[in-house]
Amino acid sequence: MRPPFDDEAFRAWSEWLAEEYGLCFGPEKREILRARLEPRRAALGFDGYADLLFHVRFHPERADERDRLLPHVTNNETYFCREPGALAVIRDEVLPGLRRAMGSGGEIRILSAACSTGEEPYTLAIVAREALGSGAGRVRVTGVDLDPRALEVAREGCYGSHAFRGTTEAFRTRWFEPCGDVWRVRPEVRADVSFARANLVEPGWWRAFPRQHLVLCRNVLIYFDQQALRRAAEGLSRVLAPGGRLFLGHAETLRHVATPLSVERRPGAIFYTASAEGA
Amino acid sequence: VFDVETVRRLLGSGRSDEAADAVLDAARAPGKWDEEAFRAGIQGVAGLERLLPPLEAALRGDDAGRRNAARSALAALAAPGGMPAARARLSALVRDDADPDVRLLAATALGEAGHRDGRPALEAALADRDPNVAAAAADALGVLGDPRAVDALAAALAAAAADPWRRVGLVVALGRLHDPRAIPALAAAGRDPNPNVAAAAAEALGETGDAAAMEALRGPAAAQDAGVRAAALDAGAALIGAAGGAPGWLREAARAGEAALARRFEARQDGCAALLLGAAGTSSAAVRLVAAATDPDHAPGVAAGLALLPPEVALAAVLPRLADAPPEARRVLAGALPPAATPDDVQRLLPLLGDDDAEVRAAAVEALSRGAPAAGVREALEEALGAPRLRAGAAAALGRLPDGAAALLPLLEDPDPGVRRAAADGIAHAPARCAAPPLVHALEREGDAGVRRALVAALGRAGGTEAVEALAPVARAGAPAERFEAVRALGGTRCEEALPPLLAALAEDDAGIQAAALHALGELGEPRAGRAVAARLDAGDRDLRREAAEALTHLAPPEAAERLLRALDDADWRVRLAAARTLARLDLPHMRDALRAARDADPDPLVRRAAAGALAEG
Repeated sequence: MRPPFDDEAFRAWSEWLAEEYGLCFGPEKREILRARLEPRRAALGFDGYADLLFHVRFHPERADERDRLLPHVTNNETYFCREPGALAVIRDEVLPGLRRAMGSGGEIRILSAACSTGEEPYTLAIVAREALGSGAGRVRVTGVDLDPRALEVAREGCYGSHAFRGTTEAFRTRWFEPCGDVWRVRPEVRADVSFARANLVEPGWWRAFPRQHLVLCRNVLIYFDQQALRRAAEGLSRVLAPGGRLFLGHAETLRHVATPLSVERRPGAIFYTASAEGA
Repeated sequence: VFDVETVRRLLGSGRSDEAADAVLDAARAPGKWDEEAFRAGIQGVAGLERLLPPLEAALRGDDAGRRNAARSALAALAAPGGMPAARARLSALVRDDADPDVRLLAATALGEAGHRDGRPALEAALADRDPNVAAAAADALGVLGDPRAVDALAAALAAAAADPWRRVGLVVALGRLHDPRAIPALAAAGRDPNPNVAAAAAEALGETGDAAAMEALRGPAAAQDAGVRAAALDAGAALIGAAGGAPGWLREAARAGEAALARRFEARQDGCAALLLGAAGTSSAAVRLVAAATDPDHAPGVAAGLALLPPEVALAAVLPRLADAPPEARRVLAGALPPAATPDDVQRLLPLLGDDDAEVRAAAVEALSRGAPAAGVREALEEALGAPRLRAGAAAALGRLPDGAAALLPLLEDPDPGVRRAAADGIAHAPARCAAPPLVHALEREGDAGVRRALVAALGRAGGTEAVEALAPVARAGAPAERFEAVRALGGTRCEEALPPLLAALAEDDAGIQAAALHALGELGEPRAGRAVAARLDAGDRDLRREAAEALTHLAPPEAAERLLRALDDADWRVRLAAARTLARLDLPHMRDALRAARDADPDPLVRRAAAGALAEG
């Protein structure tokens, strides 16, 4: 039989995942968490889940093991052109406005926070090309995530048909090239996008990045507890350039978190705007 | 945004009404009110009590926005670390104010404040003549989460026979206390003739997170009303982890509702539906879960659902897909492999011991060695040692079988470091201890870092003086990971000679080595370590206090009694939990009052349960 995941072990694990990564596993998800930890427990040969937690908290090589654990405990659901309402606002309003304000010589910086396997940052680079044309000044998209395996996939830029379930055939043909039984992002789009590791609940993560004119952080905050939400909201506010826009997922809100951002609504999208004077 | 300097200046110059206005303006700004920042900002501001009368006046005003802002501000002032006078004033308003709106706002403020001083007034308000105030008090008690409110809420529930909506509110509040003492009242509410009450009770039983609540769901799961049955099924799914599995009645109920669960799973991919499909345990549910596992965006609960399938169903569904599924899916599927029960199962699982993916190999090792060994498994594994591709996996699995370790000693000289490591790892997990000398010799000649670490763990399992003599130098001066493993292994030797090297490790600066030493000293169980370990209860580092408290549960040194008593008030729940357990072992008469207090009022349910258990044992 599998080792028991007793009350104490579950509490210790859920607490650690919340503190370290903002991941929220409520009591109703206890069995789900146990099943997600099981492959790493078995691979390391530990007799119980408490030993695995001790290992990832204290072992000198804990960073490597955390990298192996994270894909198991995070959700990487993402696909191209997810939540088209927000993308339409970005294409038709936000990006043209930024280009006008910055002039054709300015670099528009876009951050895709918790980008998982990269579908969102590539989508944003494509949307920017659709909105501004390829010669309308530089757009730099940065995708960040805490899961190193997901970032490897993102850098590779190759996707199976499942990733295109929100797009048309024409979109895929225009921006991707076939590569065996998968599709690879075209080089000109890849050139606009880079990836980096970041943990949104770690204090000061935003300092590693220049101020961003547009930040997307979608379907992430729903997994955070209140404390993690506060930390993430602070970082997202700080990484925004003066007047920058923050888009969350359609089911997410910063209503219960104090931020210096003001909310704006459009059909199909809600976003937050930083003060033009800066934070 | 709140400006503390303005408030300080206004209060300093006697303009308390204007100071209150400044607070109210901040508290009513949508999306800008940061209660924590306000609490931190007002610390040490002189004359804060002068804010109370104007804030109370705002609570009575005509402007709804200002009334709500006054409630928020009073809640923040009454919070832990804030003003006792604010709590006392809110409590008095809840009890005695003539205006029901003021009583209601004060009740919600006491809940928001989160200070346990608010509980008595809220309990009294459960009997308020205004039903809205009584409902607000119930809600506030749920928000407050003080388990001592269980009795008052249960009594109010029993007395609210005529009002189903009031019963719903009380049931929800009881669930939010997360206390097993609420289970009898919730179980009774689960039989309520009103389906809204019964469904809320089922949901609240799930929220207790306590295994004892599972049985109470059996009735609601068989209710006439479909909503009650669905709520009971979901609550049962939420309790599977706490209960250590799905009981038969839940499996039957899930089977009966499989079609609806399948539709829900397809539509929402929610983890609860995945768990219930696994509990249903049918071949059709298994096929659905396996298909979902191969979806790159599979639902979070798929792995847990697969793990709940009956062994024969899981094996039949999982094995065929393991060959061609994508890597991530293979890991999920392999995690659901059940223990091999028949010689045929063994033969089907053996090839996975040579899988390219380490997690799949590990799952196969587990499946072949977990539980009662299947007939012929040992012979099959010994034969597999002859196949180069299966050799390492077979060694790891053999070690976990009774008497399997003896076959592994020759493999410590295998030319393949992977095989040597697996052999050492198998010996480290062997049910029977192996003699230390061959392991010591292997460690002396071994150059591979991974194998050395596995040998260190195996030496800890072997135990005895020779093992300690080999481990001590590694604990003192090995490579970082080896040192860490050696410190931990010294605890497993159960040999008193391990005490000096462990105390030396405890004195090091490296927090990881200190934590490993504390863990090992607990495992070693040598009473002379008590003083050094107990001293770490005063460490500023929470993690070290935790490890020290855990270690003390094994050592229970009488001289640490006073420190342990103080540890019952530690900010960290694990320190308090371990302290309660250790105090029970010491069983000193004057400790019982402290344990009773922890049993009745500790904010953490596990600590309360541990204290109750300690008192029962004593």
